[in-house]
Amino acid sequence: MSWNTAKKRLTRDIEGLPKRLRDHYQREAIKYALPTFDVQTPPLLKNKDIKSLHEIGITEGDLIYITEGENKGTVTTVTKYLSNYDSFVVTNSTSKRLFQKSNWVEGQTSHVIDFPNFIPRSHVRLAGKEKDESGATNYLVADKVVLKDKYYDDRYKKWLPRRYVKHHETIEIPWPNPPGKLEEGELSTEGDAVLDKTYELQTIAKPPVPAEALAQLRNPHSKYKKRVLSELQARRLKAPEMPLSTEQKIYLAKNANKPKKTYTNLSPEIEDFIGSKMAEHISKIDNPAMLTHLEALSKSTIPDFEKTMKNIKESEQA
Amino acid sequence: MSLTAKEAFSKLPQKLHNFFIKYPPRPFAEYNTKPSTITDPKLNPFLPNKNPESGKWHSPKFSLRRSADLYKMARKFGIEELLPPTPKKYYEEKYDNKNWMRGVLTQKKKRWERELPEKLEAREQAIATMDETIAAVRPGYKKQIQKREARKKTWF
Repeated sequence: MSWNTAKKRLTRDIEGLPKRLRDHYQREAIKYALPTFDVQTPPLLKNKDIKSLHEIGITEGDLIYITEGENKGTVTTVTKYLSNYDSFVVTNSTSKRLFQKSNWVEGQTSHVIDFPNFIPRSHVRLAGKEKDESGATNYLVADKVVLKDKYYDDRYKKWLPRRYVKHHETIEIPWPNPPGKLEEGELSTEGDAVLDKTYELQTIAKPPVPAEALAQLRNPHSKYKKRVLSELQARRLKAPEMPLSTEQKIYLAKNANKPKKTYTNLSPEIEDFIGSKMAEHISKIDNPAMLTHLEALSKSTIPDFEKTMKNIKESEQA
Repeated sequence: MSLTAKEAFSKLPQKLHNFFIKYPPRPFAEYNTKPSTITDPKLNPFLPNKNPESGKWHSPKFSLRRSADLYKMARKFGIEELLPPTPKKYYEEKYDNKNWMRGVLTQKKKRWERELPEKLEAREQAIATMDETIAAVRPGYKKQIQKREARKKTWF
């Protein structure tokens, strides 16, 4: 089981509780928050409950009528739908809010900013605007919206359902113009030219970019291409030398005065003694396998023996 | 096959030769059987020795593993006695001087098993002295004993 799952098992799921308890736990959660910093966000929706703009029948740029709260009875325009809160942000509905400096956004100069209010979807009805023959504008509010049929909307470049007022299905409320059409820039490609293919790779044997052009595409003076380490880099790669302690210094000074340890070859007397012992022992062995083993053992070498012999040679010469 | 001493010495492995250069064989040099100081001329390289100046113990010049290597190799050539005394015991000596566990030497057994021989002996004793025991409690039993003695069949 992952830590996430383990944590989820222990958290209290207030969604399944009665409203009275849900309110109680929400109040408990923000009990110690300062009122100036209080963020009255609606509860987060579960992933499966999140709906897209066209599914809920209201999208950005739509006129809406607010049925409850501070702005009750006003008609405004939707600027944003917050799908995870199931709430709208509308024009001209903000409140002064304090923000600690760590939460400031770019260009912010004051702790106090106008923060948009979150208006829950249940407080909002879709509205339509029409002009009658005399030129006066009338607003129409749909209590419920029905989505029927499908047509290709060229403005959105996608298939969308048509919106009708429920029980008055002759009245259609068209989708608004999509917000913020992007302006054509110097480097933008025209819509018709997007799918035009001007270059096709013929073979992978030849590189797509000619060798002469590579220098223009790549930086030949890149610091990563240099084969020489800078002084700082070299210093960073080299471990510092540990300073010696006083005891170590004393020990080294003492040993510097000591003569080098020298060895001498075994005397012929000792060699003869060892040899006679060995000969006596080997003469008793009658197992040929053991004799072969001893033969092999006698040929085994060690690096320290060479050093000892060198030491003996040097001491004899000196 | 008999070898001369010189021929045999030429067969001495480098490992042992190197060791004997640094620590000459036993009758030509003496070695302590117990740890001593690092300034001691009789210093045993197979044992830890103390630095009298600093009071610190130097670990053996040759570890138990290396000393075992040397001993076993020397034994193959029959010269293990020339090495300084080793802290470890090997082969027969090791087996003979083994400090056996008490449980291996004498099994503990269950309580009834431990007490069984004693119990059987007491039972035998009681059966043997049955007549006297009964007679001591029942004075009339002496007559029964006498009767039984009288009725006993003899070979004649």
